Amino acid sequence: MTTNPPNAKDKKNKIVIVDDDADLLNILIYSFEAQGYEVQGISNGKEAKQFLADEKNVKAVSLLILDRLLPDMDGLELLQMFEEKYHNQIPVLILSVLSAEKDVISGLKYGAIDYMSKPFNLPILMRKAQALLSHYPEKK
Amino acid sequence: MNESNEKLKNILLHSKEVYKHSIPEKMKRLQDLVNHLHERFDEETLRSLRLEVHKLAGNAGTYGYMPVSKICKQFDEELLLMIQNLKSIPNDPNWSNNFDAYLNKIKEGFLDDNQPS
Repeated sequence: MTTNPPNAKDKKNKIVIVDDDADLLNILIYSFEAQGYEVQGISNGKEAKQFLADEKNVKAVSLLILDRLLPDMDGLELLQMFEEKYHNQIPVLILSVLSAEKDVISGLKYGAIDYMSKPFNLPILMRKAQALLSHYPEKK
Repeated sequence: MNESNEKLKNILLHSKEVYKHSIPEKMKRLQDLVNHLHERFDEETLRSLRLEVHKLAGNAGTYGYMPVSKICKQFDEELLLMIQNLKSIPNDPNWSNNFDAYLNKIKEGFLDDNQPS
């Protein structure tokens, strides 16, 4: 029997989604918010870099969902910067059309915990996100 | 069905309706970019076309249009190859010949409304 996600009601887990596709960003934001999460969407690499470079911002983040092909950079560049600064502190899930073996391996090598290809199944993505959130330490 | 799944189902249904209404605008955008490229080769427009096709490859299937995602993935790969071999394009008079065929397939894919959700 399925239940509501373990942490969503107890406290606000913040999810940051970096994706320039408004159609997907919107449905992800609505879906996660409906499950009780706080969500922030960022649609380009430059803004994402600025946001993630600030430790105060990152302190509140419980999960980062990252697209690869951003208008101004490859998401892997962002991931590399993020991992150098916050290695293993926050799980990163890559969500991308680029899903050949070499792409998935690159993403995992750069530090992503999981790599899902687009187009995605929304309920499956939600379950993966919940699983990642429940396996990492809670944010105070 | 529990409350959480029910909310998700409703969000998906509503979002699909919004997406469906955005299809004509998406097709127009693609057609405008292709028409521009038929007139002359332009790296920026080619990259813009690739970005739009790439987005469709990524989102169409999520909204129930899986054939459109498949066609766009193929088109995306072809456009990427062109971008990686830009120098050869101006010398090839047929370089954009199959763009319209791709657009027609995408259009047909969107018209097939009986997509499994």
